[in-house]
Amino acid sequence: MEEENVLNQELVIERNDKSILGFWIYIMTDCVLFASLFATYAVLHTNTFGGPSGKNIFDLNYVFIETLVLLISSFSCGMATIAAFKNKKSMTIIFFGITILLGLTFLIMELSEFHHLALIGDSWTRSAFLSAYFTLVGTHGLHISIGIIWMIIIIGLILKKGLGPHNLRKITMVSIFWHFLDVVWIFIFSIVYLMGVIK
Amino acid sequence: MINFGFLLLGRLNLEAIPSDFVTRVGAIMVLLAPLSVAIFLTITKRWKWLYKNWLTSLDPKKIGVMYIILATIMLIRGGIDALMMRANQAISVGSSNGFLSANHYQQVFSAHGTIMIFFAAMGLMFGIINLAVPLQIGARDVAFPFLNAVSFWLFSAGAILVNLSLVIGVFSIAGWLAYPPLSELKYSPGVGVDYWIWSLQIAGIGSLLSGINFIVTILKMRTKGMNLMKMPVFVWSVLGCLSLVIFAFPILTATLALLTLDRNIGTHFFTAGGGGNAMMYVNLIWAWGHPEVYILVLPAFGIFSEIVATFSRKRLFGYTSMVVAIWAIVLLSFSVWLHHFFTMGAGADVNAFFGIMTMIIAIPTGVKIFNWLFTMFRGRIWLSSQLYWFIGFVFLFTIGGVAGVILAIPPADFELHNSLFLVAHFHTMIVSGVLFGYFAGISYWFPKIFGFKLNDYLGKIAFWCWCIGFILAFGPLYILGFMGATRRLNHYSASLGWQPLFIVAGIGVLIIALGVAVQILQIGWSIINRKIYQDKSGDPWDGRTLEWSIPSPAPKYNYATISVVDSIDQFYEDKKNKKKPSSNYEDIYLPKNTPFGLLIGLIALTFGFAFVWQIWWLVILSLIVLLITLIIRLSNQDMEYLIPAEQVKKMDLKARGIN
Amino acid sequence: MKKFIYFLIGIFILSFLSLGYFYLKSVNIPILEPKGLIAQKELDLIYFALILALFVVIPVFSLLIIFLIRYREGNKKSSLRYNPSLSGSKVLESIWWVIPTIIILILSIVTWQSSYQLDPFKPISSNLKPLNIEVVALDWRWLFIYPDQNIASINFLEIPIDRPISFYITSDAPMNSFWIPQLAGQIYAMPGMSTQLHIEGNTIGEYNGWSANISGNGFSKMNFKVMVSSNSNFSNFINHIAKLKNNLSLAVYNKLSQPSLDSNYQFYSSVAPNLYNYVVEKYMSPNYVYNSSNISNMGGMKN
Repeated sequence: MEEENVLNQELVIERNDKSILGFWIYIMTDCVLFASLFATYAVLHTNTFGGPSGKNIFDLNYVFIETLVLLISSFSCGMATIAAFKNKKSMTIIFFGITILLGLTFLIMELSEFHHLALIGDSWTRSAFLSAYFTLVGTHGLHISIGIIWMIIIIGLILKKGLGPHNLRKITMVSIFWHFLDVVWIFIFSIVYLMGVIK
Repeated sequence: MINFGFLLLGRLNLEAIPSDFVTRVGAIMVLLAPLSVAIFLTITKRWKWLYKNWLTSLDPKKIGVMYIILATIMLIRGGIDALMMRANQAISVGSSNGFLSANHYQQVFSAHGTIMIFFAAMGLMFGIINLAVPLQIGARDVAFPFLNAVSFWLFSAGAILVNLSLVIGVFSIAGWLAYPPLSELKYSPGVGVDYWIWSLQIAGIGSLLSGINFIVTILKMRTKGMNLMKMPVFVWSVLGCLSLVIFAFPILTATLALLTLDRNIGTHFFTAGGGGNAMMYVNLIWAWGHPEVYILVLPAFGIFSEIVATFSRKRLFGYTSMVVAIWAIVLLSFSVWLHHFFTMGAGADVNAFFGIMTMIIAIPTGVKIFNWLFTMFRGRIWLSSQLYWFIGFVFLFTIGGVAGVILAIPPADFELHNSLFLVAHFHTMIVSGVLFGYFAGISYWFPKIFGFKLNDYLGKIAFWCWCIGFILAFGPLYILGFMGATRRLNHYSASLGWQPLFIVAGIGVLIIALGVAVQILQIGWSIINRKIYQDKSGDPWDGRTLEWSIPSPAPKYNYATISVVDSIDQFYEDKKNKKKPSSNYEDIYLPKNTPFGLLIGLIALTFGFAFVWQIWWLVILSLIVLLITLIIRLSNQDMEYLIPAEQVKKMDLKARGIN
Repeated sequence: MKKFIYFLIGIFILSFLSLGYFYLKSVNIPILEPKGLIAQKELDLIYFALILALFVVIPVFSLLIIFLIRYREGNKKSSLRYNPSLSGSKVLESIWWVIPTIIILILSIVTWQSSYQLDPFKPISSNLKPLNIEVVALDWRWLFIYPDQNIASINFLEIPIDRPISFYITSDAPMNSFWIPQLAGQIYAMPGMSTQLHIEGNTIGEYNGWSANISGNGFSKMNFKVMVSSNSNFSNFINHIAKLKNNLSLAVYNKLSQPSLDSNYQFYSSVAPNLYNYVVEKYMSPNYVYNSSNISNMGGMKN
C-alpha cells in the first residue's frame, strides 16, 4: 500500500469511526431538509393556479425507467464498495465508472423532462405546485450531481493513492450518500409521481 | 444588446452607497472598526502573530475565543441598533418624526433581531461550547477540528455580510424573520432581503456543521469511564441543544432556499398569488425558530447548573431529573411552533393543542429551577459575580415565564400578540435566560482559558447595570403592551400618553449600555492586572468537574494524561480523596494549523456578496474555487503533528509548577 | 455613610414608583379597560393565568431569598447547615414534577375551553342579527365595506352598540393584523385568504384600531378609529354616508390599493358589488376578472 505516512494506525481507525458517525448525522440533517421540501410539496401540490396538475404532466413509464436506472446505479455502487473492501482496485474503479454513467443517464433524463416541461410553458414559474415539484425533484438532482462529482474525485484518489483506510472511508461515505439518494428517490417516485398520477 | 455593466457588476452601482446622514455614520463606523484594528496590528507588527496563532488555528479553545470576540462585537452592533430604536421612539411622537425614516427604522429593527439572535447569541453559544465541552469531557480536541474552523469562518462570513449591508446597499425591512409577502420581490425589490437571506444561510450552514461536530465529539470522545450518566450537566444540555440544531437548522436552510428561489427565479412558494402560501413560510420558519429558542437557552441552563453547584459547593440537586428535563424540553420544543401565530386563524383545536403543548414545556423548565434552588439548600453559597447572574436570571426568567404562560393561552394571545408585551416577554427570556447565562459562563471558564480571573467587583457592577437597566428598559414595554402599543412602531400620536414610558425604556437601554462598558472595562482591567488575578492552582472556584484538574491556562492538548471518571463530580471526589493526577504520559497528536478554514470563509463571503448583487460570474467562480479548495484540503493527509510523551511530561510539569 | 446611600436609593425608588403610579392612573390602558364582550373575556383569561402562575412564582422567589440568606457563606450558621453530599430527594423532586403538572392541567382545561369559546371564527350568539363588515388591509390604510348597507369607509369604523359584528378580513397588501384592543384580540389579514372576527361593543365611545403586523413604510400610520354608537346614531351615520354620492367603483378601488401614506378618513356612498370577493379571489386564480354578478354568499370562502 502506498498509502500516506500514517502517523498511527489506531488514530486512523478512531478518526474513521468518528467520520462515519458524523456522516450519518449529516445524512439525517439532509433527511430533514428533504422532509421540509416534501412537506412543502404536500401543502402546495393542489395549488395549480389554473395550470396543469401532476396527472397532466407526469409520464409514469418514463419515470419508471429513471427509477430503474437509479436503482441499478445503487447496486453498482454497492458492488464498488464491496470490491474496494476486498482490495480490488480495478473492479472498484470499473463499478464506480458504471455508477457514474448511470447517474449521468438519470440526470440527463431528468433534465430533459424539465426541459420539456419548460418548453410547453409549465415551468416552475407557472404555479406553486410546479415550483414545489421542480424544487423537490431538482434538489434530488443536485444531490445526484454532487454524488457524481464526488465519485469522480474518489476515482482520482484511488488511482493516486490506492485503497488505504483514508480512501476506504471516503468510499464508504459516498456509498452511504448514494444509497440515501436512492431512498429519497423512492419517496419522490411514490409521493410525487405515483400519487400524482393516481389522483 | 448585452448589458455588460450588469454582466460584470450585477445590480451593484454607485447608488448602493448610503446617501442619508445616519446610515453614512453607521457605514463609516463599520469601516473604521476593522481599519483601526488593522492599523493597530500593523503598528505593533502583529499580523504574523494573528495569522499564525489565531486565524489559522484549529484549537477549539482559540476558535471559541474568536467566536466570543466576534459575537461581542455583534452584540455591540445590535445594541447600537437597539439604542437607535428606543431613541427614535422616545422622540418620534406627534408632530416630530424622529431622526430615522420609516424605511431606515425598519432596517434597524430587522438588523437588531437578526444580529442578536444569529450572531450575538449563537456566537457566544458556540464560543462557550468550543471552550468548555472538550475540556469537560476530558478530550484533547473536537471530533473534526478542521470542520470546526470552517464553521467558525462561515459564521464570520455571515456576520461580515450583515454589516456589509450598512456600507453597500440596504438591509431587509421585513423584520428578523422576514415574513412573506413583505419579503417577496413585489414588496421588497432591493438587496435588503437578499443580504438577510445569505448572511443567515451561510452562518446557518456553519451552525449545522458545528452541531454535527460537537455531537460526535460528545458521543465519541469522552474520557475513560465517563458514560452518559456521568457527564456534567452542561455537556448534557449541549447535547440536547445540538440535537435540536441538527433537526432544526436544515428546515431553516430549506426555507431560506425556497425564499431565494421565489426572489430569484420566480417560483411561487410564498408569493401572494400564483398559488403561493405565505403561511407555509411562517410555519416552516417557526418550526426552526422555536427550537432555536431552546438551542440558545439550553446551554445557558447547563452553565447555570455548573455554576450553582460550584458556588454552592454542593453537588447538583437531582442530576437525573435535570437530564430528563433537558430531553423533555428537546422533544417538546418541536411541538409548540404554532404559538407564534395563533392569530393566523387556525381552528380552535389546533390553537388549543399548541397552547397546551407550550404550557407543558413550562413543567420541565420549572423542575430545573427548583433543582437549582435546592442545590443551594444546605450549601455554602459563595456570592460571586457568576452567581449574581444566576440570581438575576431566576428573578427575571420567572417573570418572563409568567408572561409566557399568559401568551400561551390562544385567546389571551390574541390581545397581546405583536404588542410590546410580547417584545418584553421574549427579551426577558432571552436576555436573562441566554445572555446572563453566557456572561456567567464566560467569566466562569475565563481563568481556565487565559490563566487569570476577571475582576469580580466590576463583574457585579456590570450585573447591576444589566439588571436595573433591563427592568427599566422592558418593564415599560410590558405596560405599553397593555396600552395597545404594537411592536415595530416608529411613530405614535402624542395623545396616547406613551412617551414617558418610551423615555424610561430608552434610559434603561442606556444603563444596559453602561453595563456593557463596565464588562469591557472589567476585561481590560483584569488583563492589565493579570498578575494579581492569576490563577496558579488551575482550580480557582474549587471546581467539581475535570477541567479544573488541569493547569490554567489549559495547555493546547488540554489533558497531558487521560483522566478516568467514575463519578459525576470526579474532580471533587479526587480532591477529597487526595488523588494525584496520573503520570502516564503518552504521545499526543494534534491538528496542524491551516489557512483553509479562513479561505473557505472568504469564498463563502464572496459567494454571498455576489449572489446578493446578482454578479453571476462571481457566484459561479466562487463555487468552482470552493470545490478546488475542498479537493486540495481533503486529499491532504498530513494534517497532524506529534508531541512526544517526553515533551508532554516536561510541559505538564512546568505548567503545574513542579520541576 | 452607607446608611445614607441606602436612604437615598430608597427615596429615589419610592418617588419613582409613586410617579409611575400617578402616571398610570392618568393614562388609558386599553386592554385593562375592555369595552366589549370578547375583550372582557380575554382579559379575564389573562388575570386567571396570572393568578395561577403566582402559585409557582411565590415559592420560587421566596425559596431563592430564603436560601440566599440562610446558606450564604457570610452567614455564621451556614457551615453548620452545610451538607455537601445532599444530591437529590425523590420526594422533593416528585413535588415539583407533580405540582406544576397539576397547575398546567388546570390551565390546559381552561385553554381548551376558551380556545373554542373565543375562537375568532365563532359567531357571537345574540338575539340581534349580526352586522357584516368586510375589512381590506391596503398599503397602508384600512378599507371597511358594509355590504348590506352598501357603503364603505377608509380608516373609520362605526358600529352599533350591543350588536354582534362579523368581520371578514383580507389583505390586498402584505400581511397585516387587525386589532381593536378594547373590543377584541387581533387576527391576521392575509392576501388571498379571508379570516373572520366576531366582536360586540358594549360601551359607547371612540376606540383605537391598529395594524399589529409590520407591512412596510406606512405601517405606523395604519391606524383607524372605531366608534361604538347608539342605534339611532348608527343609522344616522349610514344615512349620512349614503347621501354622499361617492362611488367606490373598481377603478377607484384600484387607485386606493396603491401604496399611499394618506391616512385620512374617506367615505363611499356605494360600493362595486362583490368587491371583497374580487380582492380575495384575484390572488387565487390567474387572470381573475372582476365580475359584479358573481355574487357568492358572505364569507363563503373560509380559508
